[in-house]
Amino acid sequence: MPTTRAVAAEIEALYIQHGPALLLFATAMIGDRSRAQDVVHQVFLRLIEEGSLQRAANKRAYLFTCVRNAALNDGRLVRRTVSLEPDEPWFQATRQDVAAETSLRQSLIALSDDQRQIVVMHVWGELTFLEISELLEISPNTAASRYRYAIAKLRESMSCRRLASKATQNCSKENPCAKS
Amino acid sequence: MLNPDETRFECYLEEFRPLPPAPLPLNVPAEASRKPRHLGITIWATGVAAILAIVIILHSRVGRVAPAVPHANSTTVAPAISQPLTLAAANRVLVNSVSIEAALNSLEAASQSSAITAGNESALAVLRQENLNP
Repeated sequence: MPTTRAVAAEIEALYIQHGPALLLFATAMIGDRSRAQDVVHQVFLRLIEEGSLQRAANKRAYLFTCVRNAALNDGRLVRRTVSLEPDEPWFQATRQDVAAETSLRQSLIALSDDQRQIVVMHVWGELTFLEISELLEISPNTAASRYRYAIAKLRESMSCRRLASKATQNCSKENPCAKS
Repeated sequence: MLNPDETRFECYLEEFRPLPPAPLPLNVPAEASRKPRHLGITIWATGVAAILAIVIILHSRVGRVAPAVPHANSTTVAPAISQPLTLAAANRVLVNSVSIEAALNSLEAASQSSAITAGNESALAVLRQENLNP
C-alpha cells in the first residue's frame, strides 16, 4: 500500500506529464482558461485527497474522464456568459509563429463541441479512439468518423485563415474556404 | 483511414504544444492544516509561561517569608507592634507572621499594650462607661 506522500508524488508527476493536454481539454470545453485551470487543479487535489487514482487501470483516460466531468459540472453551475473565444493563447509558439497559433485556436473554436473534444483528446491527449469512445459513451467508429470530419474542417479553416492573414487574396467564390 | 495529406496535417498539429498549467497548489492545504497547530502551540506555550511565572512569584514570596520564621514549630511568635495599628502595619504583621492565628494574637496584644497618651481617652473605655441600654 503506497503512502500518501508516494501517491501525491505520483499524481504530481502525472500532472506534469498530462497537465498541459488536460488544461487544453478543459479550456476547449469551458472556454475560459482560468476556470479551466481551476477545474484541473480541483481534479488533481481531489485525487490526492481521495487516492482514487490507484484503482484506475488506465490513468490517462481516467484523468480525462475526471476533467470532463468536472468541466461539465462547472458548466452547469456557471452558465456560460462569455463566448468561446479567449484572448489568451492555448499553445506554445515555438516553431510556429503567433499567427499560426491564433489560426489553430480560432479554427478549433469553430468546431462543434464534440469534434473539438475528440481532436484535443486524440492529438494532444494521445487517447485512442477506443478510449475516447468509452469516455464519450459512443462507438469507436463514431469517434473515428467525427475525428476525420473535424480534421478535414480544421485543415480547411486553417488554410483559409492563413490565406486571409497573408491578405494575398480573399477567399473567392471558387475557393472552397469561402463557405466557412 | 486518413489520407496522406490529412496525416501530414495531423503531424503538423502535433507540433503545437499546449501551454503548461500553473503549478499544482499542493502547499495551500498543508499550510492551512499547519496554521491551527501553530496556534495551538502558541497558546500552549503562553499558558506554560504564565504558570511558570506564577510559580516563580509564589516561590519567591515563600522564600522571602521563610527566613522571617524564627522557630518552625512556633505558632505564637509574631513581630511586636510599637506603633498605632494601621492597615499597613496589620498587613506587614500578616506577611511576617507564621500563621494567621499568630498574627491575630500579635495584633490583639498590640492593641492591648498600646498606651494612651495624657489628655486622650480610650474610645473603648468611653464606650464601656456609656449606658447604651434605654
